[in-house]
Amino acid sequence: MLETLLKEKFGYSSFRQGQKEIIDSIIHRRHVFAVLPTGSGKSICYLLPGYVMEGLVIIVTPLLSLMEDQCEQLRAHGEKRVKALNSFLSYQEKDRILGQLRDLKYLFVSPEMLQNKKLLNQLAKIKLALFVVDEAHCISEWGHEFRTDYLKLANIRHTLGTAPCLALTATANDHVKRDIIKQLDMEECDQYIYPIDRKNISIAVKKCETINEKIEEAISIIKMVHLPGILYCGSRAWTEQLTSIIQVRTHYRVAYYHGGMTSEDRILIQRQFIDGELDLIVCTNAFGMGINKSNVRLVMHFHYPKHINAYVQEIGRAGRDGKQSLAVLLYCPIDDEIPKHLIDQSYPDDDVLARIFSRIKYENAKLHSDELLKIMQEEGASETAAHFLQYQLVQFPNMDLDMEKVHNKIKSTIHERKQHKWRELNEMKRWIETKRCRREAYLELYNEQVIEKREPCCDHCGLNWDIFRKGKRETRSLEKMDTWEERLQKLLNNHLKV
Amino acid sequence: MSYHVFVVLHLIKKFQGDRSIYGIYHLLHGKKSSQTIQDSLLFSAKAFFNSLENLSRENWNNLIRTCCSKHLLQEIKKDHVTLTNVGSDTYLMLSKSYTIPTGLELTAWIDIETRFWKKLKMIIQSLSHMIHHERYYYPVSRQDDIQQWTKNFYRHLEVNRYQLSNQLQKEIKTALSICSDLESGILVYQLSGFQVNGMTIEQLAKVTHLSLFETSFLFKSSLRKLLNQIAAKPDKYPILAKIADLDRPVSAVSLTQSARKTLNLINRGLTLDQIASLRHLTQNTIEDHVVEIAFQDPSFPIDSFIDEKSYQHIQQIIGSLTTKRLSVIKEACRQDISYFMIRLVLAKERV
Repeated sequence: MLETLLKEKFGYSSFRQGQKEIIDSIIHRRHVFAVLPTGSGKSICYLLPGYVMEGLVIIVTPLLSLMEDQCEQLRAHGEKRVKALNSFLSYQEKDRILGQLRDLKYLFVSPEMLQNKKLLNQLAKIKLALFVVDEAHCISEWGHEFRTDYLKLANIRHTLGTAPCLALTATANDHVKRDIIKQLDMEECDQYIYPIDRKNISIAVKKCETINEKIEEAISIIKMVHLPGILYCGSRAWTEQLTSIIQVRTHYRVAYYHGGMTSEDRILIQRQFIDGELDLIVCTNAFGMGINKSNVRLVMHFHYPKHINAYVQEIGRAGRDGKQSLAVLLYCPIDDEIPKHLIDQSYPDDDVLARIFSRIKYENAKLHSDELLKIMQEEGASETAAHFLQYQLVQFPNMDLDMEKVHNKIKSTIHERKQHKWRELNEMKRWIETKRCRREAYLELYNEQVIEKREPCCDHCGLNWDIFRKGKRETRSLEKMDTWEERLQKLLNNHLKV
Repeated sequence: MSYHVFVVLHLIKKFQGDRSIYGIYHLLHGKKSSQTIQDSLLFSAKAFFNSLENLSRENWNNLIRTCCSKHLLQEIKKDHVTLTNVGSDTYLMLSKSYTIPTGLELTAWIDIETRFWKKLKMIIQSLSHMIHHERYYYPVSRQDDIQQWTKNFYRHLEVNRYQLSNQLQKEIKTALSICSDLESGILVYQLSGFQVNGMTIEQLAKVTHLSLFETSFLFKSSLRKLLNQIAAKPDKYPILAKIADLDRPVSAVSLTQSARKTLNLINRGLTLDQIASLRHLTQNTIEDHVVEIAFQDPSFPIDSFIDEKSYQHIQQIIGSLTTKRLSVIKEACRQDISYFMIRLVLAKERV
């Protein structure tokens, strides 16, 4: 019966690995924690139960772009009872959606939006079928520092009744898994954990001495191997800079993508990439989640990510069609500065913390106020650090009783979090430095083993680059551009009409 | 790069160090605040309002710093710059090869241009898919209100989709005929539809070998020309006029939403103090609103904020000075004159 529904609603004739078991648990009102590899149709796991269970399915999603993508994909399948709520909507738009809640089947929200009293009041009035946390690793990755509303989800879930909770992610090691389950308060849950190994992705690390050498290496790889490809960078500025270098040095169609662009530009670039009009996209980690493109042949890292979870997520965007694909990480010693800096500025240091505490004491600042955030930033805390600290402080509503104690408590929390981030970073670095099989080395971190080794595995097992080499490429002649009148005709005349 | 320098020098010359570089940035970026809107009129720079929507604060900052390091600009105080002699010479030289596209000056409809453009893009995308019998597509704008508006647009149409797309095509072609091919191309190539993805301004700058600023200006120039055409002859462009929705009375005074609220409360007889506490805003913000209202609406009475004598005093000082910088005016005025009073007079006098 589930199969019929699957066919009818989504056009697939059979379930993929894990989907049916997960859906079955949900329908039987069990909490579920699931790790499904990227590209395995995670969304079916919460979309299908929506058609079986009575009430609204709430999906908590970390990124605005991802939320909108999911929403549009669902609409593209003909499901109209879907909306996305996030804090970027205008007041009127939010209000309109709130008025329609009763008629919706799926509601995508940001964790921040779930703090909205009005929304919670409305939600309390209607029946909830399922509470989904998509990309649930974000709870652990971001929840403790700058998206602290992630840590409040369990509370909210409880106030909304007893609907089952589904936590979904593509990558979670043991630590992250335990953290997610704890933060969502779903200790009693069914767990479905599927292997994350992607056999058709070959892995290589290339060490360089200098940044210039790294740029040369990147360009020569882009020229040599099959595309389309994704090139991940550590900062927005780098995506733009690399894009212009590659544009000058190659004939490939390249564009950059990062969170600082307007939503409309991001949509255009994303569509161009998906429709094959770009050979390479140079991006920050803002690009990727929720993007379905099956024929990505290359994922290259110009800077390494902060932890191995992110790395596994990102390379997982290659070869979703099952064909042989390549993941290359470029490394040079100076790269170590970026993540160090990022970790440091995520937390207030001891001096800053002390100054903030004394100002809170003398100015009697309210804990929830923006004023407090301003004070923190005036004293030298970064925005992330300020949000982190505010969340920590709110945990102690009666702090004026013993400020000293709270100060020390927070100091030690910061210490712990920093230690944790350093451990993750070191894990990533150890992986880059390893002399063993790279696949074995990262799977081990997920308590997974390589079951059958497939050639070509990784640079340490021996990688024959010829496999990825593209044939003599017909040099792309510069496409002649249509005149604007012709272009307009293409848009507004039916060129398929007989 | 040199077009960028030309634009920077052009703007800095206009503002003569009387506004901070961020004030100018807000203008280019199209920030809808009282200060920005007044500034654009005070310094006759309205053409540049909203002309570089994609410009990031960081890029603007870097550009100014570069010009400073080349000694084209000098910092007269924090974040305020003026042209050096070299800068003036360079500007004269650059003006021979570069211009600001003429359509930028057509500012009658700048309040609605962004919204019009979003609606136009959505209509063309949806129509293009409809005539190709494709029901599903990724909308180019994710703004809920724009999507909703698009839906309603089709609901009230008498013609079928083929007639509509023919008519729209004809209208756009006619309306754009007063633009250069370059301008029209930059506008049209941003549009998306069935099996056609639009290009970003930056990509268009690449293929046209123009700078990013010039490409953005040319786009805004064509968009403003288009809107002006529609406004001049709405009967000739029925579909475009419907999309632009010019009929709806955009009130003569274009206040920011927040200022409008303040105005309503003033009209109900509340004092600025009361309004500030009622709206949980600072007194300063409310004063900003009052200045904005006074600026936009010449008939707005200000006698409850400033007495006749002080008004004349400030008027006199302003007349004797060449600058519009507040701190200089304040310095020259009587002790009891506040910044608020000065700004009110400036607004009333529209200097």
